[in-house]
Amino acid sequence: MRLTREHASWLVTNIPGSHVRPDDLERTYTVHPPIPSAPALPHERRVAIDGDALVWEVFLETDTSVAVSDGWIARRLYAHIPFAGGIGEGAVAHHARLVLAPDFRRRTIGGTICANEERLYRRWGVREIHLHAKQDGPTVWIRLGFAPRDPESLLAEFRRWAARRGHDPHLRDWADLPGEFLRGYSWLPLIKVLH
Amino acid sequence: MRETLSIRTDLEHLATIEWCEGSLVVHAVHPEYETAVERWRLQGLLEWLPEGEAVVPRHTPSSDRLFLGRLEAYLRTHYPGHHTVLQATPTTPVKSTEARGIELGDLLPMAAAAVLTFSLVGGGAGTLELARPGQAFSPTPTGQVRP
Repeated sequence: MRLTREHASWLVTNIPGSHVRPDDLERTYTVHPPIPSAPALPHERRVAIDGDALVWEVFLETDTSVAVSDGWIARRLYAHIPFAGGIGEGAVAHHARLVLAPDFRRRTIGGTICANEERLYRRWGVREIHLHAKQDGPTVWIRLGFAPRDPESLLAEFRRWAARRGHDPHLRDWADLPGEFLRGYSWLPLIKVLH
Repeated sequence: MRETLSIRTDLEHLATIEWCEGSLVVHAVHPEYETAVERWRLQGLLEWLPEGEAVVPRHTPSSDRLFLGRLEAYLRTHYPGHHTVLQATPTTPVKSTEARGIELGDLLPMAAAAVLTFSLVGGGAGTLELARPGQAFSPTPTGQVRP
């Protein structure tokens, strides 16, 4: 699973200052879960330039062909997207999904992949990650440092929710949002700004 | 065409925004919602839309004629506690009536001008109604964000 010369050229041409290595994706998605000891290895479904985006889709499995990811991990990288977390535009990655097979959840694999991706994005010059969280996703992603893309709208709805239940409507941190409140969102836009 | 979007929750009014000829004017806004409106005005609306297996971006600047409609749909889709009302008012040219000996002022009291109101409240069905001038849109200009 290697980036071709074409992919590397797209990155350095569209994102000035990006540093690209051919094995970037392979290194990013190779993780070593504590149990079982076999590493989760990435397998490429697609790495391609699709319109004005660089896209890649991978699935993870052990060397004994046990699925680690539940379906594909899909990413799209755009070089010129208006920033949600500030003024201007630049490189933004959109994360479509990261779901792990049940036996591999709660073993720090998801957090490791996210940390690897952020390290890669910083080297490539990506400024923001955008995603939509569903099911139990909002709680997990907010714990991993993501924030609402429309904080004023979410806070307005939290004030309404808190007023109905007699909760304190003031928050110190996004991580203080109750899971019961966040479970009401089936498609919540979240972002992470990479400094 | 002039459009007005009103945004609120069960608890409080959040904003009333008007789009007219490419400009966005804020007529009333909750203090904690000002930054959202200012961000939309400056940066427009970015959406990620499903397209086949992929999710692709769509950016609509606030000067775009479609901006308020897309913002209304975006809020309704992503924030179920938001109630939005979008009103569109066609701007009709005023014709001179002096040649027929009628003063324009004579017409105004009976002007059942065609003000088209399209309301969507919490994803409910759209309704069409006729309103007299000033009825469909009469916001109180409080807390206007710098244009």
